[in-house]
Amino acid sequence: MADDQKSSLELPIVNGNPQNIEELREDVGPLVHLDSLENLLNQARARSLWPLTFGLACCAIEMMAAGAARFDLDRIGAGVFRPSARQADVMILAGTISRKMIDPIKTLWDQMPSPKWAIAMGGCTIDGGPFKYPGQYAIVEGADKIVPVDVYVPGCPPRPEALFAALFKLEEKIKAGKNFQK
Amino acid sequence: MPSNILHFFDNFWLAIGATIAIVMAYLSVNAIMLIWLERKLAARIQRRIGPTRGPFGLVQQIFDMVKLFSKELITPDHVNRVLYLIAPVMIFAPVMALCTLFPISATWVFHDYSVAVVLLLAISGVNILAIFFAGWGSNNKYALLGAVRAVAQNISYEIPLILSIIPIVMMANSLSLYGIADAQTGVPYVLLQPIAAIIFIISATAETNRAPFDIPEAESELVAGFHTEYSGMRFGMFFFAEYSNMIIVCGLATVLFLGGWKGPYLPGPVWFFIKVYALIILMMWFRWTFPRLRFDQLMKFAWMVLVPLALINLLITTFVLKLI
Amino acid sequence: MSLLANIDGVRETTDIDHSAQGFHHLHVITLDALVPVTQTFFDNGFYLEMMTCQDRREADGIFRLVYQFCTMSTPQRHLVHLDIDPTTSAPSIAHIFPASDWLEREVFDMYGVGFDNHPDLKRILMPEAYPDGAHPLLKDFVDPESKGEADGQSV
Repeated sequence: MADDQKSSLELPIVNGNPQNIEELREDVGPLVHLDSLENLLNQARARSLWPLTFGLACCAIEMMAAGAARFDLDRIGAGVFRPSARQADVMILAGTISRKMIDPIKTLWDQMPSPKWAIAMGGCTIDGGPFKYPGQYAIVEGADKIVPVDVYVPGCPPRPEALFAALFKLEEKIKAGKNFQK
Repeated sequence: MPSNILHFFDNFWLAIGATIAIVMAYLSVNAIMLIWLERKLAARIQRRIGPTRGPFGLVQQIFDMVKLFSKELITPDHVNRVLYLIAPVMIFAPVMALCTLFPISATWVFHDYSVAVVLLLAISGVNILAIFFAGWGSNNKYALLGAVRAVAQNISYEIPLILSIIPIVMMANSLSLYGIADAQTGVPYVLLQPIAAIIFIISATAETNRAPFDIPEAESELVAGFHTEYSGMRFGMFFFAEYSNMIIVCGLATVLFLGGWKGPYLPGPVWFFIKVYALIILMMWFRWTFPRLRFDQLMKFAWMVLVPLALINLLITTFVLKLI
Repeated sequence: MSLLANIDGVRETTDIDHSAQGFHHLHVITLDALVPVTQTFFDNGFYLEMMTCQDRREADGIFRLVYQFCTMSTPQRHLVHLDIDPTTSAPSIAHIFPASDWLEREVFDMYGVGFDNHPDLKRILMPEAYPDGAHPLLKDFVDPESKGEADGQSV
């Protein structure tokens, strides 16, 4: 394939493209910022992250294990998995993203009310993982080609403790007031 | 005769205002505490720990509430605005009204209606309507399925509910909640009418859409059931209303079957709340023990098992009361 | 196998080692025999286990459709090989075994084999907007959406 042949696959966001990020910043976000109130709210939001049940493939098993008895995500407040995107805060993309899933993922991301975050769990959502080879036809190489990802968790699959570490990292990020809107 | 709120306030409107304030304060604190209790109880039953922030994880609830309040309220484009926006309000209003009916002690009730039982059953019908508004107004096939199932389930289980209350009313000779609780002088009615008590508790669990009858909000089946399209505090309202409904039906069960405020040594209100919360823990225990009933099993159970059983119980009670 | 003795266009290979191959009988059939053979299997209580395709254009210039039928009562597994020209389409057996609806859609999606009288022949694994004529499991396939860079980063 020649280099100048543009990809016919229309992806909504290409990570690192400043133009897209700026457009997003203008659309989303409140009109008025009250910094001290935002701080307090961020402290609360960080400690009560409700994930969307979005297990796509094998990493979903580890996500379920993290929510179950031995590791228990409920301890850190993230144990309430909501099935409806409108009631969830964080989208844990757990598993390989096939090309057919691009539209549903985008729809679900749009349905989530802000403030929202995304965790890319497992090698497949970071850059395609073990299923990437030159000329592959099946998967999207990385979740950040569809949604803006806040935390990446390497592993195939990552252990439940790694998911915990990711949630703690996300909590740090939220308490520091950083999300893709800023 | 119990004193009521009008004895404390000369002005009628001041009395109403005070009632509303007390009920709202109680329900808010109660809902928060019940959600915490549910999460901790569920965790312990499942051999895990549950929320750990703060002593016993109590502070977790505050974080959850603050987060829910600060979420963006999305009103989707495709909804029927009037129904969609009214549903969360409508589901909470009857609950607040019904809280005022319960006799907490021998000398206190907000207002002692002589037909309190009928009033309670009638007002709790508005709940069903609110659920249907939520499902229909959301313009979403999963929400509609959840709402339709909720309505069918609720109206089916109303019948055994009422049929199990009638023997109690006949035995106590009074429709007023204070009168029924008062009439249980020696033995609470749960010992005299065990079948009615069991039917009541099962029907009450189904009325409040609690597991194992929680098909309407079945998580794995119907996305999130009738409240799929609600975000932020609107969803919080549905959550609150479910837990407040539990208080209502458990309060009714306490008054009808367990003798309300009666008990040795401790003052009346303490006994009342102990009994109510014991029944609530029982309902939560049900949720984490039994698998969810499939919808046709649910309806079959109501119509083929509970209704005949309740009718037979009613007949037996009638004969016994006539003979005694 | 005496089951298919009355149908034209069926050639059977017996003396298959079941413990090595995993099946008991292999039938090589022609295009016209597919529907009668499938109907016979259905009438005798067999299940359609699997259906797939092999791209043998370099070796023999054909596509080979492989159907697998089995029955549990007296354990038997029959394989049916159907060699077709790459430009022709095969008859659909969706009216006999409804499960083959999706199996045939998968073969169409991955190999481009058309099926006559199929209820709804469209892509099933790839997105519906994937370019026509791009069938991933063909041996000379190149992804039309790929940037063609050597080190991954296809999309």
